[in-house]
Amino acid sequence: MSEIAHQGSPSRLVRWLELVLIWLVTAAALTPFLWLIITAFKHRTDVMSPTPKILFSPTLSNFHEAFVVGTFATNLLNSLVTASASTLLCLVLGLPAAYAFSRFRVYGEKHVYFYVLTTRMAPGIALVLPLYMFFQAIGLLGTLTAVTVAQTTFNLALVIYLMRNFFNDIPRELDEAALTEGATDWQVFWRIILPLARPGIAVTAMISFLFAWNEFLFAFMIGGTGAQTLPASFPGLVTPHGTYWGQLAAASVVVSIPVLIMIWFIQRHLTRGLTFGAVK
Amino acid sequence: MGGMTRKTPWGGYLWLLPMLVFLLVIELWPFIVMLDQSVHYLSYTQPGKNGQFIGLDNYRKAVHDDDLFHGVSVTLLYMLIALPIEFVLGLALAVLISYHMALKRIVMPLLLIPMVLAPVVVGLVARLNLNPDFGLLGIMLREIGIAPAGLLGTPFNAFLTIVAVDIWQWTPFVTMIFLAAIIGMPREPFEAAVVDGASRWQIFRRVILPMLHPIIGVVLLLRLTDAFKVFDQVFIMTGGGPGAATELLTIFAYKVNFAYWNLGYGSAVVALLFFISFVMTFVTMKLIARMSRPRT
Repeated sequence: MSEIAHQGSPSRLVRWLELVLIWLVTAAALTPFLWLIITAFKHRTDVMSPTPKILFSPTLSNFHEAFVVGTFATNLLNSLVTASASTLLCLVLGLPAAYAFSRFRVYGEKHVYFYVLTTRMAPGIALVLPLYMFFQAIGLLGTLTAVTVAQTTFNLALVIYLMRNFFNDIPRELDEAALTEGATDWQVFWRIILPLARPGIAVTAMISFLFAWNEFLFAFMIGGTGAQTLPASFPGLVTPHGTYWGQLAAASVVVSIPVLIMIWFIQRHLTRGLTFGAVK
Repeated sequence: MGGMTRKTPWGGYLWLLPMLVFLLVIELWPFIVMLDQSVHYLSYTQPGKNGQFIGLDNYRKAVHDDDLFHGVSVTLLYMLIALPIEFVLGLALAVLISYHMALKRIVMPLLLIPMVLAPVVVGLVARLNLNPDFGLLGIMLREIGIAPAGLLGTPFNAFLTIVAVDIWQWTPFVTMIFLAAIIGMPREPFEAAVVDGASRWQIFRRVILPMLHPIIGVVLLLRLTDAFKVFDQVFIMTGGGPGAATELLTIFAYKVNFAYWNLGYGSAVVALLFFISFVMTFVTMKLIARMSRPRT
């Protein structure tokens, strides 16, 4: 496909201008976020400076304020616990289901599959209100368990979807061979399919973790003050008396670290995952 | 598929059982409870009437609610402005990058960063940069005389700003998908066009665009569902204000339930939201099924 690069053979100048344009767009896309990162390392007076300061003496005081003095350390821990636990729960519930969708013909499969996708498409508020009332009724509002379960609802669909694709990529001949050797379906799944699908499971787990980690509304409503995750703690620092920019920027940097690390690994799979296979 | 698929009509459900139990208890049951609540009166303003069966009154109220209608208008306008711009910019960028494939591996992950950031961080990035006193963009805009009091201060500007943030965040998504589609195209039409001496513009119009045609519908519907879902970053940026200028349908539904605690009526509103997204999902799936059939 690199041949497309030479179609119509434009002049060197045009090609050079195109490169500049691509980099300018990239810079424009990144600058606002970079400004936030820089802000996290600024003293309070530098943050509020009426002339944008590029050169300043960096400090970790915002991180100290946010995570040592403030409550962000607890929130960070809550985020880690709920995102990990809900990813694990998604895999436990989703892997067998994805395997069934990939290998068996099940009555009503299409309807189940459609229902699963609906949970992905519906606005968060439409899913969170029933859950809120449910957890209120059983007295679990404001607990880590409730947040974990809530975050599983919107990730389960994606896990099933992605894993079904990864299972489809594994040749069926392997199953057939093992089955004729006398292995049970469960043994095929546990001993052959899961080990072969390990890279796919890793990618799926990362995507699921990221969505739960980034998620705001569920954690905000279901977690309340008792199980506040890092993103859910943000509105508390945007007060009528002012916004705690330094601390919020520091927290944003911490929230973004796993995202920035994982994007390199999951990038290739995002296209397929986010378009439900319309583009490979 | 087909012949190789093992037939275990009911045995297959054993594998789905954990998921089905979860869905039934955690999603379907609470949803039914919510539907039941939507035909009852439940609000903290008139506790005396709570629990009273009122039939479809809440739905009738929703259909005639000016605030809900306002939310629908804001959401529609939001989509109507943001999506076309995202499509044109995203497509242009995808074609541009396809001319420079060596750059793709470095540029694409960078471009995707705004899209994978936590929505609350996106909202915060916007607020910080647009602050008229010390924000990078805010100062520049103030210097050239645009919005000296800050973009989020007036209704019109605030609305345009949340649209602009959507464009900033999601144009790379459109680019990512179109680029993947362009890379996946067969080479012969391109070679034939080059042999015929076609210009770049002609190749774009006659080769790339026709082959992108089926994808465009899918991307449009995916962007529609995503734009319909937008909540977090707008909640952080404006909370729906000033006034109700940025009160999207989702924010309206949030306020009815969790700010005014009008839970009976709120349940009806949420049920309507769910219905809309259900229809959108259905159409999307039909479209994807139709376009993937001839390809595989």
